[in-house]
Amino acid sequence: MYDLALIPLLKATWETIYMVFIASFVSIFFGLLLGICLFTTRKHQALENKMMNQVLGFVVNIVRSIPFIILMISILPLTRLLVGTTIGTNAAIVPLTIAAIPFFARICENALNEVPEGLIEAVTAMGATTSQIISKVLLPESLPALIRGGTLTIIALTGYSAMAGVVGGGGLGQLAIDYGYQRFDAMVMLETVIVLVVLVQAIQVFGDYLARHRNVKIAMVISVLMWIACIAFQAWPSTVQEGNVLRVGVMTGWPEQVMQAAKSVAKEKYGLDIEVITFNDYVQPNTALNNGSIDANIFQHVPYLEGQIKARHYQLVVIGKTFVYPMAFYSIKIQDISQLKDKAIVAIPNDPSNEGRALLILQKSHLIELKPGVGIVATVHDITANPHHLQFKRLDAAQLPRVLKDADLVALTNDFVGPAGLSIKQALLKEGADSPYANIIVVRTQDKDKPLLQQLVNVMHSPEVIDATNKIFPNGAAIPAWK
Amino acid sequence: MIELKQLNKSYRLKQRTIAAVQDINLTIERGEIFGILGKSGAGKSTLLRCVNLLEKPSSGQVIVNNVDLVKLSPRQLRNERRKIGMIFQHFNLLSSRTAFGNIALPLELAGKSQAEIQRAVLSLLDLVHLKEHIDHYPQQLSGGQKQRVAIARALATQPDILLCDEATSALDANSTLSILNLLKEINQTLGVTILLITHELDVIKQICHRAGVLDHGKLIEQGSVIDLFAQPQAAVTKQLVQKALHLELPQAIKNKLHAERGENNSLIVRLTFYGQASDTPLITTLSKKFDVTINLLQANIENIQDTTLGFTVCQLSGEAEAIQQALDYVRSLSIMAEVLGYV
Repeated sequence: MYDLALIPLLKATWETIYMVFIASFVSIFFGLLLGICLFTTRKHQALENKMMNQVLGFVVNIVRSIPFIILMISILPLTRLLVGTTIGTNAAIVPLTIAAIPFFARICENALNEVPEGLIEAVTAMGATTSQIISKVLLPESLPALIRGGTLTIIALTGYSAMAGVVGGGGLGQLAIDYGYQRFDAMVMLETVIVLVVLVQAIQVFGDYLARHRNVKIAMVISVLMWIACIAFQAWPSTVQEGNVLRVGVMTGWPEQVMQAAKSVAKEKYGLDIEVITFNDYVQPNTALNNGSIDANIFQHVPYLEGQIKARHYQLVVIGKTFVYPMAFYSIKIQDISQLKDKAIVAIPNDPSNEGRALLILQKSHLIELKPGVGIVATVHDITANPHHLQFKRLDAAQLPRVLKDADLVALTNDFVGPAGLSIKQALLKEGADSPYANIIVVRTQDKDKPLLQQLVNVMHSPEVIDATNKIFPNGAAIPAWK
Repeated sequence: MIELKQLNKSYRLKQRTIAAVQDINLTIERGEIFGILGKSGAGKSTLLRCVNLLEKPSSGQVIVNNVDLVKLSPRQLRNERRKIGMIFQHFNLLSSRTAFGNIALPLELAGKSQAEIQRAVLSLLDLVHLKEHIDHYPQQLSGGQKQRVAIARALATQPDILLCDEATSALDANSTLSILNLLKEINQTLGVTILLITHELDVIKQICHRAGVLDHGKLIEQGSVIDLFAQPQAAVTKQLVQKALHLELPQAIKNKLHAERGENNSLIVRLTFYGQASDTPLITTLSKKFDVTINLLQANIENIQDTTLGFTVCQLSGEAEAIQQALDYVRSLSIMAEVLGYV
């Protein structure tokens, strides 16, 4: 269904190598320093310092115990401070590095600890200084273990880098998730997985070779070449001109395709360059917009935005609507809602905005009753009456199409109807045209009157964009909301 | 010269304080090979490590070449340590370096130039007879060869003193012998003072000039090696000497031994003679001169420090008076006679 050219795969491969290389290099460097500190401040070691050792150990343990995705979100301010943005490949490098430093530090500490004490004693007796002990004994003697640990770190980072998509970091992991998981393109998923396997295998073989031959020179030479490549990649003159550029955040998948149409309209009619930044979670696009990493986003509806503004005090405002993509309930087990049995299994999305949205449809159809006034933030805990004893299963939105065979009733957002092999015509229950869930174009409050952004609204309402949308969502599955 | 004065070292282990070495007073002269003998756990290792301050003494002085190491700054201590070589039971060679690299290490630490290092290492390899193993890694060397590399490394900075921590305990008999000979050679040709610790009396016997015995952290006996063997004072020393020289009486005789004179008028005596006294035809003289019969039970001759040391255990029978006269005669020849018991 989606013909993947070689270019995106190569681009994603390079992005992964780029992220993993820089993150590995920096984290191995600082991890080594931290590891040496951890080891030398241990009891009976050269710089024995119980207090220091415990504090460092505690910090390392804390960072290591935070799940990577949480770490990535919680250090956004630091990321912004270091690389000037919280989205993109460079922004992904910061959390990758922070996560890997304590990982490698522990590996390093353990490797140094394996050096026989007698060797340290012998060189101390020769009159070695602490730094000589480290450089002449500890590091050379533990070199194979350090190289193996470095290999382990690089491979772990390759795995972590799959989550870089959350901050628009790109890479193979994001490609696999976006195309394979979100869009059911098994071929793309397979290709990326193969590339990842080859990559990991190559790293392992090469690491083993270096460890066996105690050869750091080759690693140094490769690092220098990689740095040159990375810097050249970053400094390559972009074709996009500054000043007439809008960075627009959308979800990965079909919105990207719509934005392709929007891009050409913008270029032809207004000489405006739209740079499409893709996300695969619903929190980041607003964060990125609020902190200036992007100029507009088109992915959410008003109730969700209001909730986010309330929770996070964003200075964001709506400048236009796009389409309503009605959420609906589908089933491959029953043909009509009247056939729904008692105790039927109902699968609904588990993200805060869509869960309430699904429950509201059920309430409107009198299948359940919700606590008065909860509105769109309703969860299954707000159900006050469930006469049919429906059993609710809360799942990740992308997982829902996959459980049609297991559940009696499945709530799908429009994105997943096509991939699931269904059409909106088969919906058993669906939102009306009066849905408050029209997609909206959101910008920072201070920017709302900028002409460029008005042009963006016009572009999104252009016939070309409507055509592109209708192609993806035929049969009235996308209703222009501004008319 | 090494002087240890009022040296104490104790550890705190949980709530208890454990004295590893106590009240050590010891002087080791320049050019001497001094051995410290002791069973495992006696504190030998701690004592040796106090000499180059790998272990910091709890109290007391460690004076090496007229400098009290305890009072030095870390920097000064590092400088002094370069004048004290050390070798270990398990060699402690760097597995990441060849024989050459290992010997070069102390010179690198001291900031010598590449040319100097090259020259020095080659002559050291020559000294320890390992020229052909210059590029071998420790894994490729035998135990004896590893210890030779370690000795060369310890001598690289031309120290006045060499500390040996059970240097031959991990080696087979042949390697032990060759390492001991090498140490002796180094002592004689380079004049390096050697302080070694060991639990094997053989090592002391082979190369030491003087020795001390450490027991439960205390230096209970010290003196020339020949005295230590001929007239051990402390019970621990006696036990060690008897074991090492196989001087234990056969069990059959031990069983018959009484502390009091019996009716047989027969006693067991151990004669210890060294130096020229061993040349006298003693047994014949005794039986001719006095009216006693002599039955030889055990005899043993040791060569220690180029001195012959003989041990003879025999049974003397005859009139009590004759036996007493015979013993007096023996003692007049400065041969030690120790009555072990009566049968």
